[in-house]
Amino acid sequence: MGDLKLGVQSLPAAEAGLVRALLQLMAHGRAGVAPRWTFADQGPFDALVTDAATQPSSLPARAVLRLAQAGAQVAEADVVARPLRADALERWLDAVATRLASAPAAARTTVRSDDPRWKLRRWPPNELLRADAGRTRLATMLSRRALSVDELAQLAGVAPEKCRTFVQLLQSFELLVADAPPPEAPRALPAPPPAATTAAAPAAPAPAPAASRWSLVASIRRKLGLGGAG
Amino acid sequence: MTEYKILFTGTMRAGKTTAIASVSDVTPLSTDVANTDASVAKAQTTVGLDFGMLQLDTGDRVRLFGTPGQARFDFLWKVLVRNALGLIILTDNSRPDPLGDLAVYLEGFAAELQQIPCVIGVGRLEGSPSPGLDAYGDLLAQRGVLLPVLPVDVRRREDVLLLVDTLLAQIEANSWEAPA
Repeated sequence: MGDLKLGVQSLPAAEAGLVRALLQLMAHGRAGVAPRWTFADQGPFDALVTDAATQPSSLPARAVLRLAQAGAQVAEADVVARPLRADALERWLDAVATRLASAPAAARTTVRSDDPRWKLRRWPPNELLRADAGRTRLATMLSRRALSVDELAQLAGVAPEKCRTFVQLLQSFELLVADAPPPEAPRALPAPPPAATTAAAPAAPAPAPAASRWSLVASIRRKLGLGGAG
Repeated sequence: MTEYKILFTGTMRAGKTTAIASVSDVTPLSTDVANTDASVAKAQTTVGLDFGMLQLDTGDRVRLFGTPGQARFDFLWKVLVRNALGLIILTDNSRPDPLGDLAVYLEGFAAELQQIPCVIGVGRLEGSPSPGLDAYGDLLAQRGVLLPVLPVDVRRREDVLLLVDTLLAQIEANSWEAPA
């Protein structure tokens, strides 16, 4: 197994720096020991460290370590309370490396390539959504891009069976288009105008890359107390 | 520190100011004046902009802008919507032609709707159930536009949060890269 890549997402800058520093210390102390973990600023990642509020199923990594608030009682294997300690990080990374090395190649992918992708052809009737936030989110994602059931489950953080039931419901009402084109690349918004805008409309920055959008969305969700679906 | 923005638009009395106030960290700064339009029973109306704000734990900020409701201020819409994270269109179902109202905003933001996330919140459905939500979906389908349409009472924070959540879900869907 070659070097493995560890990234961070939705963490304050100081905490991201801590992860990077701990990784460098680990590398120094384990010189010559494989596999080696390296810090990556951009994906794809083998593992990510993120805030506990972030939905792990929506993150682009095969393993996610979530940091809970200081003093929190945690029982999940992939959650630790802050502050992140070097020994806790090293133990988790070793466990992840072992897991990745032992998983058969087919199991490393979470999406079955034979699953068709579906996209909404129109917004569903109200009777199908019934003011349910979870269904609204699933429909929203299917309105934006074509997704298989497994992809929808991963993106929305909802159990695959729930997604499959909802997709079947939409199919029964002929609301879905099958075999849609592959997912579009993240759309770029227009660049900000070079001239100053009016005083009443302060200029906003040019759109951030997709990875930064994840971090931004996660921080807005934390701010408003909006968790993931499912 | 980076500033982002979410835009709230819609007709007079649609609830833009109330919606922003329900989620903003600060009391929205409004540029209200006395309403001189006798056809609308409202004492004050926003003739400039509403400003609300969300201060994020990363140090970044999200500005919440409310556009003037009158169509004669549509020149401001184009300026305000530039580089917005998303657009929330609020409608008032008690108005004489709420579907016609929505069409104004669909046309006014037609270019931007090709790219940025948008959600439509339909208000006052309880007191004015017609047209129903599905009529809005029909209108969008006729125009070849696919946008979420949700019932909303902007006085209820959870309803406004669902609108924002729907915008965020669209950003997530746009940004997600399927595993290889």
